Amino acid sequence: MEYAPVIGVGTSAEGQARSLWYDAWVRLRRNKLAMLGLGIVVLVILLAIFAPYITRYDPTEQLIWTEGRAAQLAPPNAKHWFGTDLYGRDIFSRVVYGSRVSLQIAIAAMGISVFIGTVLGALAGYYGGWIDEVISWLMNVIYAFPFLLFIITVVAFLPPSLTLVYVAIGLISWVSIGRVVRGQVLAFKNQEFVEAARALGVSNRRIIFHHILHNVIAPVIVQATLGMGSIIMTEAALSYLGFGTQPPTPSWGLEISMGQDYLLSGKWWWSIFPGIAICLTVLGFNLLGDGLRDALDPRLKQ
Amino acid sequence: MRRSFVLLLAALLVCGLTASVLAAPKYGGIWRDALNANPPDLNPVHATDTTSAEVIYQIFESLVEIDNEGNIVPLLAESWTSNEDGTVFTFKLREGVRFHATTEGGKPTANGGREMTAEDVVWTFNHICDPAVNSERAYFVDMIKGYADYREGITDHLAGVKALDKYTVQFELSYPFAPFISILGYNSFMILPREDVEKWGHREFNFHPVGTGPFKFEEWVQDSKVVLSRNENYWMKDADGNQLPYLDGIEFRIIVDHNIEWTEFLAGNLYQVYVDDPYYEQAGGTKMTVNPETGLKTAVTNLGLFYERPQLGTYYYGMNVEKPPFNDKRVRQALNYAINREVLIDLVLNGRPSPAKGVLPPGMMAYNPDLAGYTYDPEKARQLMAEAGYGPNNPLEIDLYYNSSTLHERVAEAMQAQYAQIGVKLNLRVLDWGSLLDGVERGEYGMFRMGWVVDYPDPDNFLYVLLHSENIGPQGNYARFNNPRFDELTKLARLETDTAKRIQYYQEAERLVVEEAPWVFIYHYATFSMVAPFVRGYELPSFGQYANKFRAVWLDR
Repeated sequence: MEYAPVIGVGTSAEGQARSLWYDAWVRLRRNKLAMLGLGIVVLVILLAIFAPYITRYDPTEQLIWTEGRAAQLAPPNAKHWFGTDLYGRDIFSRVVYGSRVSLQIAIAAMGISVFIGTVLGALAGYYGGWIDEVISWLMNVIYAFPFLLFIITVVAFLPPSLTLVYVAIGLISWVSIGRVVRGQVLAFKNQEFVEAARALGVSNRRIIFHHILHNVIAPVIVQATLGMGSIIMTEAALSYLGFGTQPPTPSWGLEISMGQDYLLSGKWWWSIFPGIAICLTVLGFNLLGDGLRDALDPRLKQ
Repeated sequence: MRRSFVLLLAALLVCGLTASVLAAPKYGGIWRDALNANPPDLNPVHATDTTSAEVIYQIFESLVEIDNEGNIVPLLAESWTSNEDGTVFTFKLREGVRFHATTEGGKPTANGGREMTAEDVVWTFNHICDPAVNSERAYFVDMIKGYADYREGITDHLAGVKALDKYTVQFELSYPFAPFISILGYNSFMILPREDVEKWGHREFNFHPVGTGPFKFEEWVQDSKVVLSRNENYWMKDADGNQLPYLDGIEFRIIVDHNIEWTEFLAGNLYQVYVDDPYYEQAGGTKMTVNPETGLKTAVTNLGLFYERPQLGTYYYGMNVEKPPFNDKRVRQALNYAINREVLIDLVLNGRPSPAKGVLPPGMMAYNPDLAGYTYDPEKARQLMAEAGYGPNNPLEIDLYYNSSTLHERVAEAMQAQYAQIGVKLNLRVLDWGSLLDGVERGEYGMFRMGWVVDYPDPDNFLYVLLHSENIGPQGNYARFNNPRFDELTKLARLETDTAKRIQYYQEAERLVVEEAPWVFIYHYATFSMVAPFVRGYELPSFGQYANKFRAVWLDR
């Protein structure tokens, strides 16, 4: 086993491919930290899906109007596990529902990133020449661009919305994927199996998308998983600054920003719990991403 | 046991305070304070905001001033008289008032510290109304005779202001205008030294302000601090004949974040602090005693003295009555019925402001305690919305524009939940203050947050400025309210000199506004401030904390 790309050869690759994924899964399972990461990620996904069944209160329901002062800024208790905020909203509900916003944006933005990154990276790597130069120049420009400033500028001109946030993040964060794909394609395009395909008269498009990209899936998955964490952080930062998710939609970043005024006066629960949620989720994606990288790259382990 | 100890401590503190108030004031010390923004303009002629005013009040003086209880009292003018029909006002100026002799680290000023005379008053009002200077608040004095001719370039001076002798100045008005004297106390009408204004030009004078006030300008580091020093030639003396001010100087640091400001106050680096809601309890806000006469509330804690009082101002959501859905009165009324002002104020705002039934704040002339206003009635709100054609199948969605600040955000989220109860979806659109004001002045936004604090203590400053159809747009009528009867009433009240009649006109006008509901009336402001325990001679003005004057403040330590 010199290198993994062998599995990409020919049409009978399917059987062998499954065994690669199986091998990877076996390796991943042996990695305790990666399994912890996977556990956290699965938990967050389950929270997001089953939010209405897990929580007792509507995350936007303001209890002060009916229950008065007792419901306001209550510390964690049996009814409100994470306490309540200024308006008597249940912070546990808001944290659980907040996972929906975070995941929604992370998945949508990552989808856009993966699409742009893969297509542009593959084109640059395969064709080389001026196409490569233009795309690489674009990647360098975006890479050097102040990320938050770009999004804040965009949001300043258009009314903030979830769609805008993930499109803006997606349009910017494809560069790392694009670079990985370009590098991989560059390494593969002169391999024998590609040359063989070319000799058989297979079209460029088919070679790129069918023969080469199959072999690039693994590093893209690793990059995408690692990238999820940073997208969740970006969304939180934007919402914290008031440019992301808009009230009353619960978002972790927004919660921290509203709660921080009360942090010094001892009402810690309003921003601490959403803060923990962000930390854990990002940690989960990063651990899983690291584990996947180790599992999907046999050269590292053998 | 513990409670009695606290009581004892409080008693000791109160005794200590009374004793020290009676003690002779000490000279010296720098007053350390914070501004919540970099002042937009320190030239009074161009300043329109409270942050600039807070500094301007220390450097400059006007003919009359509004004291801490809201009364008009002499300042640079010692006394004044008016003719029978209220069209000619004659002011006798104080003798021996000198402009600052030095500024900015001891450099001599252009005026050289000469005496302020009637000629300076005449020049200042000509300068303010000069079309080339284009003062933002010149229109406040558009009733001075010859104003229009001067503005249009027909004459080269303001005919209605004349110096009768060195210390006597006369204003002639084109029509009787009752609030004229109180307008002269507004912070744009400070008497300026001609030489210094001409040396710098009216734009650069912002960076080199010179006046007659108790403190001289020393240094302004943009976005960082404004430093003032004691005016050793200041004219005012205390009751015992000691020269004011007591302080050696003032340092205003520009601190935008209330949390940082609070931490700095606790660390002893600031002597006055804005008490944001999260610190209200800690500052003693929940244990205040009220003076029934002035409405001033005070609390003494080991952190310092916390003052709070009603402020002449109104916080509202304006609705552009020209834009759908706000061109429908039923929608505007429904939005007023839908909110529970009492709970909003009690719980979200710590009970500090008071619920607004109409436009005029309590304490203002013509304030009507019997005004019906809008009470919390979600049923009625839903019914009105249904009549206007909105309901579960056709829900109304509104964008609310407001400027970014934790206070506005807190109120807006509460309003959002209240409106959701009657099936109205409120989208929050946050802008910076400049963009909000710009869009609102151009009538671009349907619903917007606004607040108005008094410039001169007369209902004219609220009803005429904010709702008369002549003032639609940048002048102040942002709701673009246009009601002929209302216009007539506020005009009549402008020309009337009999106070009882004026009150009648204003009360009828306000009832009209409430019925037509161009605003969601939310609350009347409270102003508050906390000062360090060793501060003496500080008073919280009813006009708002920003109007505080430090000429009689001293530090007991």
